[in-house]
Amino acid sequence: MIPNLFEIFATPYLLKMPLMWLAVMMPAMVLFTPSQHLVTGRYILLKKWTMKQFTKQIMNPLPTQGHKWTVFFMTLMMTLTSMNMISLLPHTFTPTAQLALTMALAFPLWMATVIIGVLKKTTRSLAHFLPEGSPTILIPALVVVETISLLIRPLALGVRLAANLTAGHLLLQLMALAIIHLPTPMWPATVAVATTLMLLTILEVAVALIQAYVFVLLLSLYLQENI
Amino acid sequence: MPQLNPAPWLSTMVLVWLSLGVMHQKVKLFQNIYPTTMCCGAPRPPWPWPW
Repeated sequence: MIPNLFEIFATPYLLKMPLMWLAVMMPAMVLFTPSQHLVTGRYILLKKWTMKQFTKQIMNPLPTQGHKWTVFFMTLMMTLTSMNMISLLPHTFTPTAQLALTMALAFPLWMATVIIGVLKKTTRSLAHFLPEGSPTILIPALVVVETISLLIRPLALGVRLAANLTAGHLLLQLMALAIIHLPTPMWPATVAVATTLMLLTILEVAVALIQAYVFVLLLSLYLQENI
Repeated sequence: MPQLNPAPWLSTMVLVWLSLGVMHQKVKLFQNIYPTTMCCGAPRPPWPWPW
């Protein structure tokens, strides 16, 4: 009987109650809970330092009008990072591997950047359909290509996050299954696969952080074009 | 397998924006209580070592 490898991405249920809400709300419930201490300790200092580094990195290229998006981008970054990292624990659910979640974030935010561009700087946002210095003969083709590139952005944004996490978790599960089912005489192969699994887990930690960062970075770039 | 029934999609969308809203309020509160300037204590390494 072939096991269904995608079972790990199904919504977990407890007594017929879907636990999706717990997985999605977990970062919001756990992180940034106001402390009773006003004097900074190491944990609060770590959070402040992380927020400052991310803010400087992402918001530096944006003009002053775009800086009102700072808190939202940092919120998005923290939420995605924490969801991705929590999902690396064994037997946990990966909310960001669900297209419903990633598209629910990508599509409205991309649309918001496009609407801001169309409302505030109509001519400039339309000018993005034709790169500067393009040959005259290529103009019709380039406009079509740039339009498709614009329209495919939310899809790419959502699917990139979901696909990266899905692929990583699937690979981890496959290697774990291989380790479990390899017979005892093949112990060198088991050791080799287990070592690869450990290295892959380290890679998945990096992918979890990077994908959250890339999501927010790309949104800030789209905002930069339109603000 | 992708879900074709819209209800799980809609509930996921609502949940994620609710989660973002809660987190947004908490981050704003955090930024208000702890502005990004170092103050009120000796500088400590930004990692949670116990010593």
